[in-house]
Amino acid sequence: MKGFLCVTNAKNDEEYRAVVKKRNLYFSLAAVLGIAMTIISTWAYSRDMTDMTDISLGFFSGAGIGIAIVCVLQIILNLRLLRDDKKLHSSRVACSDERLVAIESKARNTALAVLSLVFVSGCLIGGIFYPVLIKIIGIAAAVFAVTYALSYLIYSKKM
Amino acid sequence: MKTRIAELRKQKKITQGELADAVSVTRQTIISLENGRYNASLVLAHKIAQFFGVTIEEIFIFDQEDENI
Repeated sequence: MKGFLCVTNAKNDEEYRAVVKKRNLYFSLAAVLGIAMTIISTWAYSRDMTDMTDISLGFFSGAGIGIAIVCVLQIILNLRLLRDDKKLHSSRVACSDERLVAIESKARNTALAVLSLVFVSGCLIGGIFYPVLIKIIGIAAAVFAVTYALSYLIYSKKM
Repeated sequence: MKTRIAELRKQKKITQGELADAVSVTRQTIISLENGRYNASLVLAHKIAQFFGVTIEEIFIFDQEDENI
């Protein structure tokens, strides 16, 4: 499962060290965004600046705190890696292992296929009762299709 | 795909972990290769062949119909 958070093409320990440092930067930004999401949603709700329900507030603040906690934990783990050359090397081997990369790719493709199916089903069935669902899910499905088509074209030219 | 990795490894008296370290993969990948559950990439196959000092064809057995023309 950790393949989702650590797959890399780094060819040596120095390259991987740079990758881990960059990841720490991204995790820091994500943690700040998570905390900001919690603060903004709570503040907006308390000032009656939004039509958010209790459930929506709970979702936004919970998601924000959850993202921040996961990111901080990941930063701590990465800092421990950076301090220990042996652990850094083991982590690089584990994360660049081709079998792990292949497993992560297959899992990602399966998840995307299921997500696409849910989107289409939701659009078709949910749209009968909630027309706004058709717009939201339709836009998401269109973004997915366009992204897939463009990515396919770009990678076809590159490979 | 069947391989002779386990046989060659035992001849050289090295563990799965030592082979994994030598070719920069995890021990689990070596296990999957020996069990035929995973097919190595060209680069990994070359590294393993180099490690044992043999050719790729002497390690990886291409006896399935779809593995030959």
